[in-house]
Amino acid sequence: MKEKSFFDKYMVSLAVIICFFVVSAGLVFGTHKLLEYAALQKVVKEKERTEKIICRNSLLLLKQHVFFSENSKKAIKAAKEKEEQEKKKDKEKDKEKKDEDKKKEDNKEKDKDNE
Amino acid sequence: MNDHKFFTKKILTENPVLVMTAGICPAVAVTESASSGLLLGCGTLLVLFLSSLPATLMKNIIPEKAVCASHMIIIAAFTAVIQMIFYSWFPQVTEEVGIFIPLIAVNCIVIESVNGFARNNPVLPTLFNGLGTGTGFLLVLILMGIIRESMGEGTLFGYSLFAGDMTLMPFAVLLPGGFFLLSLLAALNKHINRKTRQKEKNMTNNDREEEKISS
Repeated sequence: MKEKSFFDKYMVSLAVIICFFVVSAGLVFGTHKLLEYAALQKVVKEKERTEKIICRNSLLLLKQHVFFSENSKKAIKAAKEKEEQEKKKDKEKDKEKKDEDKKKEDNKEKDKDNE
Repeated sequence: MNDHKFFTKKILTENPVLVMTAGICPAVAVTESASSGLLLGCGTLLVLFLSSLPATLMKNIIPEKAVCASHMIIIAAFTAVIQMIFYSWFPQVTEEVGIFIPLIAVNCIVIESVNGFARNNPVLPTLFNGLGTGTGFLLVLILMGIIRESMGEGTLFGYSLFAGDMTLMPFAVLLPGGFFLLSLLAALNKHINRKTRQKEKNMTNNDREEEKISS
């Protein structure tokens, strides 16, 4: 009877071992990819979260800016009005002063005429 | 024997570390902190359970000459998977445990359970045996970790137990301390086992006497 060759003897065992090896490698590779994907998703979520926070903060800053600019406009307007009023008051005072001076001069002239 | 008895037996009466004295190297080297012990115990339990399943399911398909190699490939693959998961979820503790996570693949407890038990037994007993062996190993590691960390460093899972840097027994964190504690636990386990066996014997003797009296 012919003796079996090495290949005939161990073919099935080798095939089984190779199958196991391939499946195990697939399992490890799959897990690696899955974990990589999970880590990537985590990073993406973190990025989205930080972007949201940045957007919210910039919106708040914008609102604050609008609020301050409106307030400053009002303040400028009020200041201008105040200045105008003060100018008016000054003018009135000047007028009054001038009138008084005139009156005084008139009185002086009248006094001189009387003398 | 009921299938669930494989689980309970492996926790006390046939504990892999305390009775079979297997897996002592990681048990002593890693249990300096409770978290490391917990991580290694969980890793071993998962590898044991996951490897037992394909090993017992395919025991009729795998030819006799390829059994050992196939089982080693299965165990190595699951160990690699567990290591990757641990690295991504608990990087700091995994770094602390270090080489002992990949060494689960050559742990004699795992090899004996998968290569010795799973290839000769049906699915359910194998699963219970894997779960029980892993749980027994995990319990011993946690217990040792808790005792060594609290006694040697005054902390538990990183949180300090006492005010200041007080430690009860710094010797506990060292390797001789680990061996000493392991021997104490083994002695305690042996004592408990002896007591339960005596109780069982007494019960059976009483039953026989009652049967004799009634007959």
